Amino acid sequence: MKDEILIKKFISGNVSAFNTLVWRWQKPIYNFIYRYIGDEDIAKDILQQTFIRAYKSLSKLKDHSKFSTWLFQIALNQSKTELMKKKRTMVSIDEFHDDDGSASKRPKQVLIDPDLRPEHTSYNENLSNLLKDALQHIPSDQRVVIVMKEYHGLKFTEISEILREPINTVKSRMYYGLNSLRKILQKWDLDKEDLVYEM
Amino acid sequence: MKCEKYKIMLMDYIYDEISNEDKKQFELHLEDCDSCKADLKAFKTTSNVLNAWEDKDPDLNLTFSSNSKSWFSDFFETFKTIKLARGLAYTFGFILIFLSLSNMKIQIQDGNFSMEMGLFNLNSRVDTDLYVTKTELESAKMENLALVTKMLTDYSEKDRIQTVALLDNYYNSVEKDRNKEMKLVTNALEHIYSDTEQRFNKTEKAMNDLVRYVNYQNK
Repeated sequence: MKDEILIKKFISGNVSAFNTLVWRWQKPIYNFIYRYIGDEDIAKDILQQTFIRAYKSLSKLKDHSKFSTWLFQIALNQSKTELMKKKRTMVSIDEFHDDDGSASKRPKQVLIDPDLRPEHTSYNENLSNLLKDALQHIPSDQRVVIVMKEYHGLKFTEISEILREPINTVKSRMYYGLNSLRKILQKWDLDKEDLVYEM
Repeated sequence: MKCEKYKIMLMDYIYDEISNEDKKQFELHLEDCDSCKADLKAFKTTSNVLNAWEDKDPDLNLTFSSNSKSWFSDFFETFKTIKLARGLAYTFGFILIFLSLSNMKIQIQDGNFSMEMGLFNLNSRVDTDLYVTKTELESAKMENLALVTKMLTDYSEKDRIQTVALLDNYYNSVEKDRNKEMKLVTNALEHIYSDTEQRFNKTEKAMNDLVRYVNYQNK
């Protein structure tokens, strides 16, 4: 059943229609928030706040076909508020450098050497953690564009609509975001394509 | 900086959102530009690495249930959604209408129909039978003044007599006390005088005896 039909049902008093929307969208919205914020627990809190806010104001949404855009906007606003509260201190990209200043291979070593990984974590979990760290090292306005594009496959026009920014600004942020990420991954020696296939 | 304009195009190219015309133009540029070619390769790799991060399940059971609301909460929710300005305008309009209706007066007199409407004149409107003339009002004022003056005069006279009687009593009492005290003082003085005289006589006599004794001794 389409989102628009579920929204109409919800507005006419069918709460279970909203639960279907929650069930359908909670995973993508959660992953969006998590990748943007970088903290699982906070992401879960924001996810709940997002759907509570959506529940309260869905009846005011004029264009029902824009539900997902609207939901992303709520999640983004909630996340931004949380980021302001946290005032997260940006960690230097040289975090993994050795004491002598030479670029360390530690992230990759931790990733590929099972003995160096934290207990009960798989290769995939470790890679996800490293990518999460890498994303947290770039500015949030670039990070949000990368997350929307890479993990949610949104078109640049859709991202521009969600962020309420000109489309070329969005593309420019994507370019500089990718460039920064490339440098971080190069430093951590995680830029080789074959790395992905080692999984 | 000729590559600057191709940065945007590079994004469109990588994510396949480029128009055919731009695609041809960009591919022509790629043939000549090693920098953009390197960017394209690196960004594709970065994109691939990023996509190794799989989605997670939030493990949350978010379920909403219908909650029967009281009429008050419904009213409150509705009230919150009304913009303040509109709400105030409605309230003001309602008050105006209420005042106008409550002050409306319709009269049919001698076959003529008349209607009066006003906002604040309900209490100031009086029956013509209750009107008094200016002369009557002045006369009432004069009567009041005379009455008040007489009351004040009577009160003053009565007050003066009482005061005089009180002062007389006080004077008599003081005079009586003074006489008593004067008598006592006179008695005391007389007593002192007679006592002093007696002592003086005794002293004089003793002195005479002494003089006689001395004269006798000298002889």
